[in-house]
Amino acid sequence: MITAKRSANVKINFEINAWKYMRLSAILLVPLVWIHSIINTLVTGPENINLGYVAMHWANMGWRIYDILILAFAFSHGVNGLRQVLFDFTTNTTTRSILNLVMLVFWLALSIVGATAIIGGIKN
Amino acid sequence: MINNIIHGITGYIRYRGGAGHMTFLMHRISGIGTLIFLSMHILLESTAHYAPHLYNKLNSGLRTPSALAAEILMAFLVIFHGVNGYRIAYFDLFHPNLWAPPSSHQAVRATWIISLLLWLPAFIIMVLHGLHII
Ligand code: HEM
Repeated sequence: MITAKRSANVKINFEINAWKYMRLSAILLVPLVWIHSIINTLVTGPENINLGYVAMHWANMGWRIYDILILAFAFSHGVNGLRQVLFDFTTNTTTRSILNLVMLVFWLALSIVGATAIIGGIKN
Repeated sequence: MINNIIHGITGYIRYRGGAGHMTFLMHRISGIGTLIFLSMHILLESTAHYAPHLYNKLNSGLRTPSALAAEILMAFLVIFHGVNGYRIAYFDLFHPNLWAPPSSHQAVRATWIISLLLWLPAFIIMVLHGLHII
């Protein structure tokens, strides 16, 4: 058994913060993702989900904020997770920079599409 | 890069790390599976704003047995990833000494049991509900 406290002085860099972010966002994601899934698949049911349902759901400002939060946390956690997995396959700094750029563009693009849809809501 | 990928993937399969390694692989697979699902989900739900006439059509097109099976699998992936993610986050942030065996082995076993127990009711509800609506 390890009993001694092990610590070292390391300079905090982006990767350390990204590692921490995965764990901190994880704490939020279980309630956010599970409640969202239970409500939509088990309580409401897929057969009742249509444009009218979405309009009703987004008429409530609380649910809009909820949807923005789940989009922000789940998608950033997922894209950063994918980035970390891909980094395991190469130590080449150029390849890693390209991967960073691709991940950033992918993250921004879908975040913008999703967020503008939630903010814009249903047009009649 | 290609060589690294081939080496990496064969390493994932060949490495005989027992339950811990299986759980690590399953966390990767469930994480990436969930990300693929989430990406499609964002695009699909966004049609409610950008192309409302498409929304109902796409949604009702997903009421098929294979879509239901995929949904039931997704439920397991997201339950497992959540439970296992809590194990990782709790150990790393609050109790890094628990990473040493035997507590780490016990935690892996508990992760699988809790995930299956949480999935079972979801599985039953989704199958019964699916039979009703398909
Ligand atoms: C349900 C709540 C969730 C929890 C508790 C959770 C927890 C975690 C944790 C702690 C890690 C870090 C693993 C490591 O660095 O070794 C991780 C990795 C990851 N997560 Fe999640 N996560 C959750 C939801 C999600 C969602 C919704 C997605 C997809 C959009 C996702 C995708 C990923 C990916 C791709 C990784 C990288 C896998 C790896 O490093 O092996 N997670 N998750």
